[in-house]
Amino acid sequence: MSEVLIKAQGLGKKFSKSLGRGLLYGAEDMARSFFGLAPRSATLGADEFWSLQDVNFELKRGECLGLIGPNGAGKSSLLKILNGIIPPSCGQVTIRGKVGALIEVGAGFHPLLTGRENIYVNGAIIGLSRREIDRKFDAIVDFSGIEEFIDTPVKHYSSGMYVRLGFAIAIQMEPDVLLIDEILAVGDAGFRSKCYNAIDRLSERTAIAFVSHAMPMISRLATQTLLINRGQVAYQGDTAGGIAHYHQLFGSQTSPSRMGSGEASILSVQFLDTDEVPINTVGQGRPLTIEMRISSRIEIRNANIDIVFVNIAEELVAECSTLVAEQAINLVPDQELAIRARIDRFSLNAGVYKVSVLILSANAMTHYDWQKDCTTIEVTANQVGIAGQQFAADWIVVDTNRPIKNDI
Amino acid sequence: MERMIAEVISSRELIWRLFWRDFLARYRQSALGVAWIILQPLFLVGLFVAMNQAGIFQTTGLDLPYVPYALAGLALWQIFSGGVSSCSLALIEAGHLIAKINLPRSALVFAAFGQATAEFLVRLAITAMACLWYGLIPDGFSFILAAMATLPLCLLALGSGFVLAIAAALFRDVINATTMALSGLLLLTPVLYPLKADSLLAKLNALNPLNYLINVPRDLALHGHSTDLSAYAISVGFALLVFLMGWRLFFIAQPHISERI
Repeated sequence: MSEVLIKAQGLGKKFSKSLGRGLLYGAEDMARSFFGLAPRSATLGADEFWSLQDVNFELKRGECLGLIGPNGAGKSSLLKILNGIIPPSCGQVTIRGKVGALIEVGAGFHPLLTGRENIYVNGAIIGLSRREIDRKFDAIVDFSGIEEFIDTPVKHYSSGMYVRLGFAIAIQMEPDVLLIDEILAVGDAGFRSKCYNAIDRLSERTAIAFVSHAMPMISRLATQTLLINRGQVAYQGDTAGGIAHYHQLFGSQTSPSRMGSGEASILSVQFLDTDEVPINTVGQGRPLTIEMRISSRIEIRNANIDIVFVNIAEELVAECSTLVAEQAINLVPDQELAIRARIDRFSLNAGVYKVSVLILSANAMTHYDWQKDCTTIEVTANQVGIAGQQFAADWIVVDTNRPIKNDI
Repeated sequence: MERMIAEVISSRELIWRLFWRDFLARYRQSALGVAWIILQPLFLVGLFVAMNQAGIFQTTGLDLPYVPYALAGLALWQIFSGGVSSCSLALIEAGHLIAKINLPRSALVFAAFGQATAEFLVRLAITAMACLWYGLIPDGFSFILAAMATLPLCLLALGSGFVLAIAAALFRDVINATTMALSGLLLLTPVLYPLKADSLLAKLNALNPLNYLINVPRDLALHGHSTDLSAYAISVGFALLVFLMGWRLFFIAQPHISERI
């Protein structure tokens, strides 16, 4: 059970920035292969850039490769190359066995056809035979949970139903190689748990390559990771190392930007520990103080100071706001203020967060200053959870089988 | 070549499903539904009958009733024209699918050609009814011969369809150019009228393979025999060449399509 199912050697992909030139390059590629000439050289032509360069890995049955990296890093291109949708510009992919893809499931659905009809069409598109579909039809319908609407044209489906049916078909494929692109970000929680179970069951006898921004998913599923940044492999190896490198990269790649009317300004933002020492790393559940220096050119009554935390998947996970705290802050012209927000237990999930600070009007409509991604804070913990917030609790265990003594 | 054939064999079920999907979807949200397949040729033949009676063009030299002659011509024309135009759109219409799912792209073209075949069969039935009405009953042998003589026309349509599908995926101009060329060809090729000997059009059509590929099967079906057999043989060779080259071009080009479409 340990044969190599995916082997990528020196994979590279270049794209053209201009549509017109891209078409000419495409025509040239086709003409070259038609006349049996060597493909264009591995150097960049005018207007071209590397979307992916020098990717090498091997994946055996039962292994799972997590592809991580910032948006636009080339992860999806790599998945498309593995899926055979686009050819690599250089290098070679060798795949053994049947390839299944959970990428935009339901892409082949025809809106006018019913769910039943689309199961057969989509099944054929992903390579299932009629007999296989007949046999699995009930399982597909059951998994999707939409028996009631199976004879309704899919254009009347909600987007959730659409994805559920698409996923249900795709998961029935029993592939040797499974490619997944952020698929688990869809559907309701109940359906997601079904999907996890299905993937978990497949993972024992399948080689999986998957793209995700959800680090908890990566740390759970991946046996190795490939961190891609701007088309280059930035890290390759074990999952913990991959995630750590990604966090580092995420922290170093923040590009602060500033918006707002400029009538009030945030002069500085820093994090302090209990000894008033500036820090950028905090243990989960430890106290944290955020200190800001603020000045204003005009008078602002009831100014609203808002600190927001964004995770690696670019999701807003937490906020600390004077509006919610019902703390009135009045700014007067040409006065500099130091404002501290002291958080007793900083309980975000382990990871790196980008921090933005805003000065808003009382009704939160006018943005006086908006320092986007002005700094980062890393939260450390021994274990990584799934949700953004991790409440520290005292866990009390009571053995309910023990006879309870009645003292009264 | 073996890989091309193996691909078709392994994707025959997919071709059937794609055909079935498009066929169902095409008529589902229309009040008249499949009746459109019948209405279109009847409308066109009606136009030509009207023009014929008004003396806009001559059908002298035609020893057959005009209606079955025109219907048979249109049915044959349809397999070429319908085939070429639906094949040329096959990749563009499936653009989303091609960009997301790895499937044998040639199946899309074959399935698109299936649409033209289905329409052809319906039109054939209409033509047969018209023949019966006018008391023209072809014998079984020449009918089978005619059916076989239609195959090269199908190959020419598929071959051109393959090339145009790729070309249209790269440059959308191809769609407009195809529509224009097809409507021009319908008028220039003697489909709805017989050629007047020694006219400029007749000289041009001596070099037009479509002329032979359409008129020989029609002659075989309606007259039981045909002239121009040597020119037909050359046209068959041409059709075969176009088919093989087109298919091969498509097969080689298909990995490059999805990122360009």
